[in-house]
Amino acid sequence: MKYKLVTEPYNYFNISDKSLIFYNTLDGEKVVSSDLDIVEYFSHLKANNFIVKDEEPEFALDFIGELINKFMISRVEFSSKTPVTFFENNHDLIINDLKKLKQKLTIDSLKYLKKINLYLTSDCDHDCTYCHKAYKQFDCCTKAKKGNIDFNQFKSIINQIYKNTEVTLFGGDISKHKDLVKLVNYLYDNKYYNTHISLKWDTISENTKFIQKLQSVIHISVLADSNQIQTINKHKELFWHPNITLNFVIENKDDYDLIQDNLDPTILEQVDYQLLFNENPGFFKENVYTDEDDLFEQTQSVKEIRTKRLLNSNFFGRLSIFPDGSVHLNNNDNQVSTLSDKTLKQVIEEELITQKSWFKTRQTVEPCNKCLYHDLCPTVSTYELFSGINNMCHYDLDLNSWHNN
Amino acid sequence: MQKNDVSKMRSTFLLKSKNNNHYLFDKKLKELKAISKAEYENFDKIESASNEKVSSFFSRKCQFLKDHGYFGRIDNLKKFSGRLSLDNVKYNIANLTQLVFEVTDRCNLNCTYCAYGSLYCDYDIRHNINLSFNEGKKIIDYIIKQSKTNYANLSSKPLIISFYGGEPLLNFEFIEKTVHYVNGKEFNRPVSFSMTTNGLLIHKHLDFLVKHNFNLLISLDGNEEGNSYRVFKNDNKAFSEIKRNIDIIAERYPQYFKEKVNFNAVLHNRNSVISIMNYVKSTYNKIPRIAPLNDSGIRETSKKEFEKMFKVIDEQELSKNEKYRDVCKDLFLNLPSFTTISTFLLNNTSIFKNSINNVLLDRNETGYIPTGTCTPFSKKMFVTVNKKIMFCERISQNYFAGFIDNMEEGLASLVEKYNEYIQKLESQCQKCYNNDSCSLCMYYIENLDDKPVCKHFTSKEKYKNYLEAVFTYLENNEQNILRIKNEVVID
Repeated sequence: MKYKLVTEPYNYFNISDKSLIFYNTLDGEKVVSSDLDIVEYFSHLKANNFIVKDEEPEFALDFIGELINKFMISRVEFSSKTPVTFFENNHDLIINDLKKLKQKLTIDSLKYLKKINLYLTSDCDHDCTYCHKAYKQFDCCTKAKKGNIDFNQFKSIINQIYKNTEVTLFGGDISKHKDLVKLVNYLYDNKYYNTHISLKWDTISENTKFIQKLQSVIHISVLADSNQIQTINKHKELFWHPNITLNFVIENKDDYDLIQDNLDPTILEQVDYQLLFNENPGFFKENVYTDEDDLFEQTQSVKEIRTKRLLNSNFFGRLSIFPDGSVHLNNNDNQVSTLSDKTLKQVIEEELITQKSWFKTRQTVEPCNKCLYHDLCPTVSTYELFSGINNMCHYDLDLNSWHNN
Repeated sequence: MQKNDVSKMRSTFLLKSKNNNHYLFDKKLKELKAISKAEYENFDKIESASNEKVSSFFSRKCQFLKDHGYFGRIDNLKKFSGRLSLDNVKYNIANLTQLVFEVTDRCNLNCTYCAYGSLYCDYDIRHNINLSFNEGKKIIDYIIKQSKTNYANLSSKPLIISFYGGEPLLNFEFIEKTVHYVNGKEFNRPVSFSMTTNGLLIHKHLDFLVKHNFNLLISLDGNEEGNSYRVFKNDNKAFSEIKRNIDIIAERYPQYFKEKVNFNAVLHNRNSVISIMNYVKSTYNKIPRIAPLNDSGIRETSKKEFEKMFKVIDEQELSKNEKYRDVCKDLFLNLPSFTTISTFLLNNTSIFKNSINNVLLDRNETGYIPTGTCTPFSKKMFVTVNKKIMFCERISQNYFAGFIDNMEEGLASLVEKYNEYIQKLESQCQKCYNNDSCSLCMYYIENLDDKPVCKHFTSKEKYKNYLEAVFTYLENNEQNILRIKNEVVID
């Protein structure tokens, strides 16, 4: 009798040249095989979610039995008509979106803008070694692009975005911006409350009154440096505020230990570590690279996997505007526009259609696109873009296996 | 049924199509699973608490599915607890997409089935009057003002300003002044114009309509026989004059005709889907919109006459015609089967929703407003010749939001009244299995002010039959899923 082997709708399946994975999104169980006969047998599932067979081959019986037993696939009788399934592949998702975006019937594209990093000025007296590197890896000030955003430009930007969009103000050193108080007041007066401000650690004592009035989350960037830590300890009461986070930039274990050992314990809870990639691959392999345990520690839902297939959740909905007026969807990518060339709405619509920065998925980068785990793996990170190492993980594609770091 | 029983509505259905395929469909999870006959039978035994022996494998599998959300219950008390708020209404007005003016209640025709004629009783008495431009201007100014409030979103969805009647061209002065006024104003988004007309005066104003790029919807029920209910006041048939004017547009402005002119046909006992399609397509190379007569608000004394004329699109009958496949291709969502299937797919799967939203936004399973009624002004605002502000031209003119001069005050009582009606229907909706796919506007339900009873109420058995019919249809018409997926855009 003819029947179909049908994958369950909650089951995730992927296949590469050399192996395949069935992943049950309900309980996190996985079945992986590198048996090439098995891989060949299930290759039809890539395009459909079923295989039609008269008989199951001997070599696949145990494997099929395991999948059925783990509720990943079912045997379903073959009627004259194919049963209905709402199987979606990535192509469908994107085509569907593109079509709708082009018709522009349903799109209020600015609602996708969740976070905007606004670099107000490049003025800064500091000479941090990481200035031109860090801002491409995590949210951080920089004077990489010269200029100032004036009040009118600022107003024009803010008036283009929804009030719930997160706005983070960066420098250079923003305390050097002549209109800083005016700009911040403009945000509050117009009910933009989801705001963050990045300040230099050594400007805090000079700006105490201003800081006390702020309704924003305040990020203070600090180097893992003994002198800076000692100065912070000396003025520790200035940092006893729930809205203040100390962002320590660290490059290695010694930096981490320095902070843990020397920073006053009363402010240690407010510390956020920002790992800097700077010719320190060993440190990253140990602390950032994904291993098998990380990947399967928590059960991933169909929705989570689908999100990773469709877009880059690290980058999606974010953009940066620099003091020279350039607009970037990702600080590692080239500018997409300038403030005078296009509105933010136009920038976002173009990105939604062309799908470059916000849609940088594992399937779009080498060598991840060949990897069995590309949909399960965390989405492409800024570290990977910055370093050019797209696969910051402990999976060896050539050996087709995980290895120890 | 006791009130607390409502929340016990089952979420999972075991189904069997006419083609002998078996399914497990979960309404809450919006998940469909093809299953084997054995799985169907074993799950059915478990669910019906039968004493018959159940295979240990399926017993284990059923428990596994239960542990992960299948075979759950839908809490309809929570799910349909939503109510309209004044903020909803203000948001809709600030982001209005269509403003329709009933510019006159005068008409140069006397169509037998006219919604403002002797068949119906739910409209304001016709006084042969026009809407003055000054009244229209007040509304336009109001809309512009609202579109600058905090309720306005940042999309630049166009605003369509439409002219409706009676026959709108009998008050051309209003149309002309409005167009000039609107064009001289600053809107935060593109504005376009449209008009529904019987076509009799179109030759006089054609240059103006073309110049301002009007979308025209011309009423035409097919060939001469099909159009025979469209008559002058002296009972003479209007067909030849309407046709002459349509031909004038096609001849003088062929490109405009191609891009901007469409036809609207009423289905009745003197025409058919095939005859309308044949005529309009072969004569003008256009696909008309076809709709049956409105069956709400019929005058008691006219019910017999209405029944004689009334006809719905009967697809079973239609499918016997050799041109059915062509008609399907052309009419698509105009056909009930496509609408039913699209509605099902929209509400029960994620296949043709905006997939970015789908993956980014959490599905909110509570706080829906019961019934399939739009929230006021979410689709349009209709301003009547009697200065009433309504949210649709298709519902009884007894349901209005206020008058042009007291728009703001009317909104609060509109919200109150709307919620009062919802409250009356809520308990029926909570027990209805089709509650999340309902497309019925409550303003079509009789006795809304008293004790309304929804004729579309769907029991569990009826819903199961509906699902089985849907899946059978999808199995038989696989290509239609693809077409719906690719062509339907949800606004």
